Amino acid sequence: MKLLLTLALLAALSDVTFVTSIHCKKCENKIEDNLSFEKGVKDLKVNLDDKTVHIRYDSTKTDVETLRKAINKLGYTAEVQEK
Amino acid sequence: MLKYAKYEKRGLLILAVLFSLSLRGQAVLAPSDTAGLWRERTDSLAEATTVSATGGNFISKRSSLRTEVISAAGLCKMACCNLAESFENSASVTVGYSDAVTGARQIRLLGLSGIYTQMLDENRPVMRGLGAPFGLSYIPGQWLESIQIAKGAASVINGLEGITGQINMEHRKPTDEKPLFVNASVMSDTKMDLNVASSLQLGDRWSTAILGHVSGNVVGMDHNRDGFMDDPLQLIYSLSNRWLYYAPEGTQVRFGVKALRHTSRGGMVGEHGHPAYDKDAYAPGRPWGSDIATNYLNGYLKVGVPLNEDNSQNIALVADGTWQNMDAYFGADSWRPSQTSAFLNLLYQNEMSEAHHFTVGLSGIYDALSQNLQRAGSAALAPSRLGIAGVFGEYTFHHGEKLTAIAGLRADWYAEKGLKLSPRLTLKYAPLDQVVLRLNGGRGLRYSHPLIDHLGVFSTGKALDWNFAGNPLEDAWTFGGNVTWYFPLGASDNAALSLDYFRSQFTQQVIVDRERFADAISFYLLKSLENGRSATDSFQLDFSCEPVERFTVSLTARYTHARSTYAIPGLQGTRMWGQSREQPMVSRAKGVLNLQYATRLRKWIFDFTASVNGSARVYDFMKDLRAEDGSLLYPGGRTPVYPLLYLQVTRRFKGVDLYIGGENLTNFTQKQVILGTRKADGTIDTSLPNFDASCVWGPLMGIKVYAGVRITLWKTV
Repeated sequence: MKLLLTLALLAALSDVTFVTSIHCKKCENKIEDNLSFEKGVKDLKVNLDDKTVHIRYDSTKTDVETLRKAINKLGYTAEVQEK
Repeated sequence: MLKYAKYEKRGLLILAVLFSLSLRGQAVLAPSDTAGLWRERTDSLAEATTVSATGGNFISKRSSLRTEVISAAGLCKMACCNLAESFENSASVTVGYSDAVTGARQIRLLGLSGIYTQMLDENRPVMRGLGAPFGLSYIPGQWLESIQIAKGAASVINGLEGITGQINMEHRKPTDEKPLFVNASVMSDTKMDLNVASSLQLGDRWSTAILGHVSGNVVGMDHNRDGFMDDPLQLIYSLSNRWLYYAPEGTQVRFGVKALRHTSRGGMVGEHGHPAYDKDAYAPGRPWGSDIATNYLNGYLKVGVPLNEDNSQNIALVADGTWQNMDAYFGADSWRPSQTSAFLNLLYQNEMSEAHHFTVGLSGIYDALSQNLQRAGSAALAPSRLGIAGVFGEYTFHHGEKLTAIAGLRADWYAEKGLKLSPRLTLKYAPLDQVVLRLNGGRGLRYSHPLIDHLGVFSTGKALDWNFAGNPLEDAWTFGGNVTWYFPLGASDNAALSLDYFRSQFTQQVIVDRERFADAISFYLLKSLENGRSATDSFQLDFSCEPVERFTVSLTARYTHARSTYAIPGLQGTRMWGQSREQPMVSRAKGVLNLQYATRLRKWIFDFTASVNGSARVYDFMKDLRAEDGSLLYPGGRTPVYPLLYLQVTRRFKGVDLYIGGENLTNFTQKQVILGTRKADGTIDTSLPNFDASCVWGPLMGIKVYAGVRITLWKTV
């Protein structure tokens, strides 16, 4: 049963990378301190060099648009990076 | 945010230059500073994000000086109620007590007392003179954004008072997007802390930060049952307001005020953990103690103005004024010092090209100090008016990222001491991307404040033996170097191995000799060309890495050898000089291991710090002290090696951090802290000269546990 639940969760995990307007360490902290606690967010990586925010999320609990709005709400632009 | 980013690119560029002059040169690097340091922030991002994001403490890769940075994360690893406690997990800085009565903390850098380290508040000299004894307790750790510890002879721009180095504090900024931050904590010794900070942006040009603090303890503990409180009853409340104005064309103005009141009552413990000492009713034979009240008021102004469009030329003004007084009572003695200080710096910087920069300036410092000392066996101290007027210049040469050479020179006129020329030189060479070599040296000078610098003498029954008058100038040279190697290991590309060596040698120093006479503390001048030598060598090895993701390890070892020529015990006159000896109460070695593990998204953070503190030579009059079982307390005349353990667990929620922790988990405490003759009732006879509560080398309190909460409200749109 536990194995099935784990497999189901893995199947629901998705990844998205946003190109944002962050520019400093403080921006990184603000993103990390807030997005980490957004519903459905499972992992987060902020890269200041290319101004990207990579999010692994549970697609049964949130979606790309919700995450984009969460970044916008913090005062940053966010565009989905094409793979 | 977008609006601010725009301004940072335009206006703040200059201010970055103006206010980070020393940062960009050879002084302290402030990677997390947002005080308009757009360039600096950009330059230091790579390092800050890859090294400091999880670890907290790291050695700055870009700084020309060997600089250890305690980041915001580092300040949350422990209780860090105040600045002194923020250094507990650093091997560079050793923290201790001035005595076992007042609660005053003191630090050591490169083996020398903190009085030889210049303290800076965003590159403004602070904690000078009367501000020093308790200054480390007056900066709440949670007011700070980061601390930078730079070893060696730093930039000449802020003066020469930093002989062993500079410690710069970066406060929470007006531009922080945190309208509200609250931190509250309580310790098992009843110490409570409350900090409130609010950063508000009022339109495009104005922003302000309001910082409030209250702390205190309600019960005095006497864990070792020596009749004295381990920590005094204290109450500190302080308020600071900082403003920032910046215009799109680049002009920037910063100003602020800070007010503080501190009361402290220590000494013999009375009923219900309250002090037994009553300064108004004290008479020989009655309970001894201390009663101290301090008032402090500071204001500052910084202005930066660009002189041309590309910001390559600019001027800056830094002005600071401080008033403080203290009403201090120790048994029958009273000491009521007051100090008014002014600091002024006027700078011009020209970036002629990418390779060549120079800064020139004028500076002035004035300190008016009265002391009003009434102590049996000590002469009254005359008021002093200490002035320094100087000109300085600093030239910086860059050869790409490979080489930076900085040459600085100051010419300062010291009141009653005359003109002094002081050169300083720094070289930084990076032959490979992963290797940084640094060399540094120069002269440092400071007016000594013999009594203020050694507050612990009040917690003794000894007379004060003065062999000079006024405030002699202490004069020293510090040289040293550092090599740091960065390499990939585990989950990080920036594992670091660093080795440094520094030597400080005094040409003139005030010696406070407790071993010369049995019944007096002797103050005299040591001059290297006439009667002896005082020098300190310090080696340090640092290693940090991230073996697996979110697990950081840092390991540090330091060895210090401090020695000085002292008077032959009992001898007076000009032929009193004896042999060079190891300086007493200076720990030879220290090792610190810091481990941190954070779960994914840093929802749980576990911090563990262990330190081993090496032995120190004790004063000669302590060598024969025996424990209750009759064994020698200090075999070989040295303190024991002792470990300290710290542990903290933090649980993070959105906007809320909860943390619990423990300090001194090995429960190690110094035995027989209060020295003297015991009376029939078992209490110490404080009327005798052998009463001494200032021989502190180890922890005064055993295990302490604490819990706290940090609440952060972020600005949103």
